[in-house]
Amino acid sequence: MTNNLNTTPLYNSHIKLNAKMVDFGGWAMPIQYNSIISESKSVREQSGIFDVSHMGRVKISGEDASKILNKILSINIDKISIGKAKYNLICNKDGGIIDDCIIYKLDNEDFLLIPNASNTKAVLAWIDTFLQKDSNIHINNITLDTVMIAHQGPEALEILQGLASENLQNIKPYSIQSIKLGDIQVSIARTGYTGEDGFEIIANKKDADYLWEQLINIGANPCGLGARDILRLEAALPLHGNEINTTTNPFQANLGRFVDTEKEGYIAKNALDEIFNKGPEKILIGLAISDRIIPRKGHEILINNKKIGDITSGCYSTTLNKPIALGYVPLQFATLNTKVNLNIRGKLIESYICKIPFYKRRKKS
Amino acid sequence: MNPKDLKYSKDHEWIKLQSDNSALIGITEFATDSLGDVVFIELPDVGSKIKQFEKIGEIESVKAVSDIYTPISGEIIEQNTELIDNPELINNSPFEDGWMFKVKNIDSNELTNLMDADEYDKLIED
Repeated sequence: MTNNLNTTPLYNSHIKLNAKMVDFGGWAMPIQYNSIISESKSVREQSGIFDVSHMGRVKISGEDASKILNKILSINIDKISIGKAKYNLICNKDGGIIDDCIIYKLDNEDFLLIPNASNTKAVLAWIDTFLQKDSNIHINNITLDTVMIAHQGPEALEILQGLASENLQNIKPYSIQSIKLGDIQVSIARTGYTGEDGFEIIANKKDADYLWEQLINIGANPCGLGARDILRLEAALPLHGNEINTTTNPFQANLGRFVDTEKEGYIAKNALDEIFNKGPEKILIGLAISDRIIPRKGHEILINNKKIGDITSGCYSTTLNKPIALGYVPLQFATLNTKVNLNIRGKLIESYICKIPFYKRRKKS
Repeated sequence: MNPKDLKYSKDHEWIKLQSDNSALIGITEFATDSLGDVVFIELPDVGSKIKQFEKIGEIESVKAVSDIYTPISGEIIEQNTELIDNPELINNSPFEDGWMFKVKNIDSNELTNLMDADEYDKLIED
C-alpha cells in the first residue's frame, strides 16, 4: 500500500493503532482507526487529533516576500499583523482557484503558507512564475522535515493545556506562537478544519511519535480523514477538488469575503472584479435529505426532472444524524427551502436547499 | 471467527438454515470491517423472488456504497426492520442481530455453490 506513496512521520504510529490506510492525494493516510462515526462524535463532544502532515508547509521569506505574496494571495498581506494567520485563495488569471490555504505572518519578511497536500506542487510552481532573477525571496518547503497535528474539539484547549508551557487562552483564533509542549518546541496555531475550537501544531519530524503519544496520553482521540471530511462538511468548509477547483471562482463558492477587492496587484483582480460585478452564474448551496441514503460527489440535482446542478460533496452527518450535501445550482434556484430531487444511482430522492453551515458550534459564554 | 454452522458466498454474505426450510441471510464480519459504519441498507420488498448471486440491494456505509448479492434463490418473507433505526447492528453483531433478510422456498442443491466456514476463512486470509 505504501508503494510510491508518501508517508508522514506518524505512519508507524498509525499502523500500531490498526488504522485503515488509504491513498489520499499521493499520501498513505489513516481514513479511520476504529469507527468514523465515533471519531467524528469525539471531536464534537471532547477532542480528537488528526495527522495532517500531508498538507504543505512552505516558508517564504525575504525583502520581496510580501510584495510577491500580494500578487498571488486574495488577501492583503500588509493588513495582517505579525503572529496572525488568514485564510485566502490562490487564483489564476481567470479567477479560478488553484488552491485555498492559510498564510501565517511570522514576521514582516517571514511567512508560512499551508497549501493542500495534492496542490503543494502546483502552488510552488505558480509562485515560481512570479519570481525574477533579482527577487529577494527565499522559498523553503519544510513539509517533509516536519509533522503537523490538528487537535480539535470543545475540550482541546483544556486537554492541551496539560502539556503547554504557556497559557493557551492567550493564543487567539487565527494566531500562531512558538511554545513548548512537554519537552519539545512547537509552533502552535489556533486554527482548524472541523468547525470546532482547536489548534494545529507543527513540530520537527523527529518529535512526531513522542508528541502523538503524549496527546493520546492526555486524552485526545486519534481520528482519521473519514471523520475530518464529515466534520468539515458539517461546517460547510470547502474541499479543493470538490467544491472548488481551477474552474470555480471564490464568489460562487461563497468565499467572496476572503477576496480583498481593493488590493492592487493581485493577478486575479481583473477577472474577479468582472465576476463580482456580473454576479456568479451558479452558487454553492446546502442540501438536506430526510432519507438515509447518502448523496455523493457527482450526483445530479434536479427540478421537475431537469438537471440543474451537481453535488460536490455529501456525507452522513453524525452530528445531525442525517445525510447532508453541498452542490452548485444556478442563482435563480438558490433560495432556501426550494424543493429539489437528487439522482442517486438512478433513484430520485427528495431534498431541499437548506442553510449552511449545517453545524455551528455554540460559543462558550 | 466465522461461525461453523453458516455457509458463505465469495461476496461475503452468510446464510443460516432454519428448521422450516427458510434461511436467514446477512453479511460477514470481514465485510462489515471493510465497509465501516453502516448507515443504510436497501432490500427488495417482502414477497420479491430473488435468484442466487444476483444483485438485490445496496448497503451504504459512511465511507461508500456496496451492492448486496443474495447467496441463495427464494422468496423474501421478512426484512430485519431493526436495521432501519439501528443500522449499526450490522457492525456490532454481523452474525446475529445484524441479519438482513429471511427467504423461503430455498433449493438446498444451491448450497453446494457456497463455502463452509473453513473455506471462507481461507478465502479472506488470501
